Amino acid sequence: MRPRLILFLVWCLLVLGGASYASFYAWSPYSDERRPARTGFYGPTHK
Amino acid sequence: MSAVRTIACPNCGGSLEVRAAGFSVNLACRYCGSILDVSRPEVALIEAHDRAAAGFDLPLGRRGVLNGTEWDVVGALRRSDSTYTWDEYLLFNPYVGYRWLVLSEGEWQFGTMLLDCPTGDVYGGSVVWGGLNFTYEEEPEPERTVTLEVLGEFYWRVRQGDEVFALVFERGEQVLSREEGAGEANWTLLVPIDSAAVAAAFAPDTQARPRPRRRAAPAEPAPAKRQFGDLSSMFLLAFAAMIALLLAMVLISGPVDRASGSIDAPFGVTREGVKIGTIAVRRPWQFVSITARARDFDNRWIDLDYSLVDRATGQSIDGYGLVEHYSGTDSDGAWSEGQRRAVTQLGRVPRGTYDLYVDAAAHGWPSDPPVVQGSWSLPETIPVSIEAETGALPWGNWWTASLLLLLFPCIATWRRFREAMP
Repeated sequence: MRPRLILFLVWCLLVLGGASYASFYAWSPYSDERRPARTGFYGPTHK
Repeated sequence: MSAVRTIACPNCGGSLEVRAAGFSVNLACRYCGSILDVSRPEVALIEAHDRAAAGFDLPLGRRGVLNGTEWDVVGALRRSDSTYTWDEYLLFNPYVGYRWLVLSEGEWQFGTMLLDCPTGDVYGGSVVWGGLNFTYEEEPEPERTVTLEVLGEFYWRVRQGDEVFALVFERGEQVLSREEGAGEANWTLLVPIDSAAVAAAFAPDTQARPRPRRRAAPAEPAPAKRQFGDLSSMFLLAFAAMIALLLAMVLISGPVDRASGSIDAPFGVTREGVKIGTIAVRRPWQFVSITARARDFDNRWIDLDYSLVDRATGQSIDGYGLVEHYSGTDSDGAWSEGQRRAVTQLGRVPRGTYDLYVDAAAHGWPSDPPVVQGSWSLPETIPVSIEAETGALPWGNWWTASLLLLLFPCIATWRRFREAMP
């Protein structure tokens, strides 16, 4: 197995572990606890 | 050019010329194929044969100008590995030194021996020479290469049956060939050369015979396996990791508990503290998603503030949602924007029982609808149904992880195609 493939395997395990850890602690950078920055302006952004 | 020394073959008596006298140490007799030591004044027989190598396209002693330099063809080798056979011609110029002409499947390459070693991990599949990166197409496994035929003179002791182990690194049309044998490794840079230029310089005796290709050449598209090498393994690994992560997230995120209700969002004022229902978080930490849906409204938006209040502690976890939909017509025709559905995801909700309270306020665009003073009718509202659910999947996390997993093989693919570009 090429070192590059081994390196990628390690990367996959890191990503897998990190994402599983985040899921276990129910953490996500996309949670909506805060109001979005758009607050203050409403209406369509069409044109 | 150099002084030519004439000798007699000790085996067959044939008259031979040493064209690179003083440089050559080995000579294969053109008549009987015997290997002679020509490094000393007295010629010594190293290995006797009774059959000369034949079938080479460039005759020994042929002189021609290639790349602006006059060369003598002083030696020829036929070599093969487990799959392919090709010819190599040794060119000599006393002021420039030695070069190689390689003929493989009718195409020629001009080879220059490197005086410096490329850097990098040879078995890692990539080396750097002259600031340029050369890569191996697949698993770098040295290929056993055998010398089948020897003809002419050489600057090292070569004979039939000699073995080396070869690795070929590529960068577009350029090839770096590494051959290791007898405790040393030699590197050669091979670049394609027009067969017309070779024909004009040396006038080969016969047309190049088609032979299986060994070394990289520009015209032939590489088979898919060679083209992608370990990239397919990387993509497979990435997709397997994506599926495994999805399964892990499904297992970790549960169990699911739901509560649903509705609230009428009034215009101009905020309706506060409407209890939607109760949900239980049964794991140490869970995501809670809250989905708001409203129907049959247009050019309106609804502000929603959520509070998940822990029954045990009274503490609340707050979130925010916005349901909006707009439409109209302009010079480009009809348009619409927004959704009548909004999903809010709350993370890091600890174990406990929670009541969900919602504040809602509706607004019109470009302005709120007028409130009729003194009217007995109720103010206009927009009904919004709310559903809260524990155990939601954090899809944003999954997509981000998938992007990180696919980034590596995508960059490697892009680099491979970029290097393969002429």
